[in-house]
This record gives sequence, structure tokens and C-alpha cells, in this order.
Amino acid sequence: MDPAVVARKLVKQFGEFTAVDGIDLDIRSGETFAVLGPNGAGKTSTMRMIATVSRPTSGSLSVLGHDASSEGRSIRSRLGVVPQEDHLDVELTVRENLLTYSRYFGMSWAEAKARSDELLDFAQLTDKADDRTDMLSGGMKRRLTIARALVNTPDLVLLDEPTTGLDPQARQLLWDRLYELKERGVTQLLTTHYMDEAEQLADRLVIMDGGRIVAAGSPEELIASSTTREVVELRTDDEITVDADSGIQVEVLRKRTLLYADDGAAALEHVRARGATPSSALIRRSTLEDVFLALTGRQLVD
Amino acid sequence: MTALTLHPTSLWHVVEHHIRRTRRSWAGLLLSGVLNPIFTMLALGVGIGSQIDDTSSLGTNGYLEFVGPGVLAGSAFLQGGFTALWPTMSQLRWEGAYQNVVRTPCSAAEVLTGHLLWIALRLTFSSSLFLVVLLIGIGWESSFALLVPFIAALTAVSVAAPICAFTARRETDRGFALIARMVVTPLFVLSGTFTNVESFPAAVQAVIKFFPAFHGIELTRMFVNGTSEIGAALGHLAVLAVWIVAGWFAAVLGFQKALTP
Repeated sequence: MDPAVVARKLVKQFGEFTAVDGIDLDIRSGETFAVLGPNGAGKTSTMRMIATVSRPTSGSLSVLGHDASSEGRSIRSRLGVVPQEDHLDVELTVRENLLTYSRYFGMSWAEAKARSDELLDFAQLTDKADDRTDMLSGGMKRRLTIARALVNTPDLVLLDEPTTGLDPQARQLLWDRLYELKERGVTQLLTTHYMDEAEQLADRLVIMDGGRIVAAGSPEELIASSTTREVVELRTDDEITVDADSGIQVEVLRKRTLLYADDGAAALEHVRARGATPSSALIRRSTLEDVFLALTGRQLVD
Repeated sequence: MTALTLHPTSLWHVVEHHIRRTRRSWAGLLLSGVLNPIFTMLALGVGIGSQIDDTSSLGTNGYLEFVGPGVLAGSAFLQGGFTALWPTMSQLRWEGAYQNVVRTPCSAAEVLTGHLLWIALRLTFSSSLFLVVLLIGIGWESSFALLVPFIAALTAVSVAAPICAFTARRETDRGFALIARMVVTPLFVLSGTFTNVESFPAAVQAVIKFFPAFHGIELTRMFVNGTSEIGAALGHLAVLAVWIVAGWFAAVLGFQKALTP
């Protein structure tokens, strides 16, 4: 089976600014692949090039076996896109949004109607079918946007921050829908700020920063290679010191101190034995968030 | 410039999308696109026209014969110009419907062309209704009158295309009011809609004749009143065609930049 996406030395520049700086990507058919990164990392620019709505400045990009620069129409006919902004048509009802979008893929009215009904059911919006889209909640709008991306039964679905701004229930429901797609063998490429989302959904991922890929692998591989197995979060004003040969790494934040160690309980005992009296201590397993922060830093990016 | 192949089915899907959207706003469109111009024409043509005894300097039998075709084509120009400003910006950026359309097989060039075809279709329809009322008022003079709705559509597109090119290059609607008030509306008023441009100073006439409104209005007047001269008609058509083609090229580039940078 052809790989879903192959990019080599892919570059996107806007004037003097380089948004994507020579990345390589290999996304296999059927997998869920995530692109993580802080704001301005180049995630959305990469997605837009793969969606063939933005032309690469240089490098090569093949999507579903077609050249992205010259065969955009063929690629888009097999692609589903969930953009950051829903951009739903507020003049149309929920069902009409799906019907109208289906027609752009060359479906007959009968096909479009059948597919729209199916997707309304999938997105749990059947009872809202005749409402205008501005009457929907944020979660419903997002589900409709995902349903809209599926009208053409795509081979590859691009999801740009699909759950940003949703409440936990709406996120869980969306995740269920995305799992369902994965079970059907649909290749998914998503960008997200949420590390738990990437850990939950992605088979493999890359972390981007400043337009480059700074790490790649499965969530487990990245956690294993970039951070320790456990993290201890201490609330304390004490200065924490550890033996140089203890294997414990210390990161001092404003009101917290983090201990990175393979055995969190032993690390906590170690610092207590050296006089630390934290007001609270939480031992947890390392997450992608630790990997992400280690690789991209803690500086706030607007 | 990329992807200049235009697939007729994609163009139709853009038009069809607008038809579906209009199902909820048709009353407003009918009011602004048909009834307003008709009332304007009747108020001027019948109301003010009744006070004008001699219209020989206008080249028509009565003022309604002069102002009716003027308002018909002038309104098409006005609607084409206005549709190319805020409603187009809304589709491109605010509501962003077109941002989604280019994620389907439809290209930015097809979105723009479908957008202009929709404007043309809408103006063909509303001008047909206007024409029926006008012909009831002044009587049937020429079979060329049947072409008038298409001339109105061309007049609308001749202004819509270049303004779409402008709109697509804007991030906000700053400058739109200026274009509407200082370009579109004055051209509607001064391009021979209500009075003969020959009475204006030569420099003003030259400016007016540079823009497409005058040519759409003159063609419409010829066809309605049965005073067509083939050479003059072809000349007016050529000016409209130049504005449409040049505007379309510029707008394709603008839409590509806005939708598929």
C-alpha cells in the first residue's frame, strides 16, 4: 500500500519568514500521526501544504501517491480536512452544510442525501439536522465540521487542533469518533496542543519547533528517549539539592520543583533525606508534555 | 498562477451553493435587486418624466424611455460593485465558506469564476423582471430587448471582477466604503443613467467612458429603444469584455493568494 504522505526537505516561506524549514515526513496508510509543537512551530503550514491549499516553496511532497504541486485536484478528492476554524455556512442548516459540501465532490443529490444522513448519525446530530449552524454549541459545531470532512469517504483525514476549546465531554465524544475512524482504517494526521490527546490517539508523532522537526517516534519511544520514567512535582520554597550520582534531574520553576527520575518514590525519599520539606509532593509517570517542554522550552509563545 | 483549468461541474457547484444559500434570503434580494430599482425608475421616469416636455436632446421619445434602461443597467452595475465588496469579503474571510470550498476538488480560480457566474445569473434574473415592468411601461420596440438581461449581467460582472480582485487582496474591509461611495455610486449616477453624458465637460466624459457602467447603460438603452447601431454596440461590448477579462485575471490571482497562498 502506498504511504499516505511522503515529504522531503519541505519548505514553506512567507516573504522572509520561514514557516516550515526543510522537514521530512513519512506517514503510513492507516496510522494516526500527530504533529505537536508550540504556536508558530509550522504545524498548520505543514497541514495546509498536505491539503494542497498552500504551495510548497521547495522540496517534494507526495500525498496519497500524487504530487501535491501538480495533482492537487486528485488529492483533494480523497482528502477530508478539519481546519482550526469551523467556517460552517451560517446561511444553511446542519444538513444543508453536509449536502452542499458533498456536491463539491461530485456526488449526486441522492448520494449526498444518503451520505449526509449517515454522517448526521455518526456525529450524533440527527435531531439538529434542520437547525441553522449558529444555533449549535461549540462541540456540536466541531462534530459537524468532522462530519463535513468525511462526506467523500476520504482515505486521509487532516485534523488541525480538532478539540481546541471543547469541554471534556465534547472532547471524549470526538475522540470516540476518531477511534472509530481509525478502526475503519482511515489514515489520520492531526495537530494538537494537548499532549494527552496525542498520547491517546497517535501511533506516531513528530514534535515541531521553529519550522523543524525536533523529535519523532511513538509516544512511548519519545517519553523513553527524552525524559525519565517518572516525575515528582514538589511544592516547596526549599532549595532542593541532590547527589551528583543519584541520576535525579532537578528543574526549579516559580512555585514548584520537578524531579525527573526513573523511581519517583526513591527520588522523593532522597530529597527528604537531604532536608527538603515540601508542602505537597505528587509522583506521576512522565507524559508527552514533559517531552514537549524539554524539547521546545517553557517560554510562552503567543 | 496555477490551476487555470476550469471544470464546468465545479463552477456549477459554486453557483448551486449560492442558490441554496439564497433560499432563505430571496425576499431581501428581491427587494434590493428588483423592487428598489423598479420604484426608482417609476419615480423618475413617470414622476419627474411627467414634468419634462422635450426629451429630444436625450434621443428618446420620453424620459421613461431614457431613464428606464439607464436605471436597469445602472442598478446592475451598482449591485455588481457592492456584491464584490462586503459579501465577497464575507465568503473569503469572515464566514470563510470559500476557505472550505478550496479543500474540495474545486480550485480558487473555479471559486472566483463560479462567484462571478452567480452574480451574472442573479442579475440576469432580476433584470428580466425589471425589463418586463419597463416594457409594459414603454412598449416593445425591438427584439434586441431580449438581450438586455444578459447585458445587465455583463455590466455587473464588468465591475464585480476588478473589485473582487481588490477585495481578495484586503485583510479587512478598510477602504470598502470609499470604493462604494467614491467610485461605484458616482459611476452609477454619472454614467448616463439619469442624464445625457454629452452635456458634461469633455474631461468628465472621458473619465466616464473609461469605466464600464456607461457602456452597459448605452447598450441597454439601444436594445430597449430599438436604436441599435452595430458598430457602436460592438464597441460598447468590447469595453465590457476588456473589463471582464482583465478583472477576471486580476481576481483569479487575488483569490489564489487569499485562498491558496
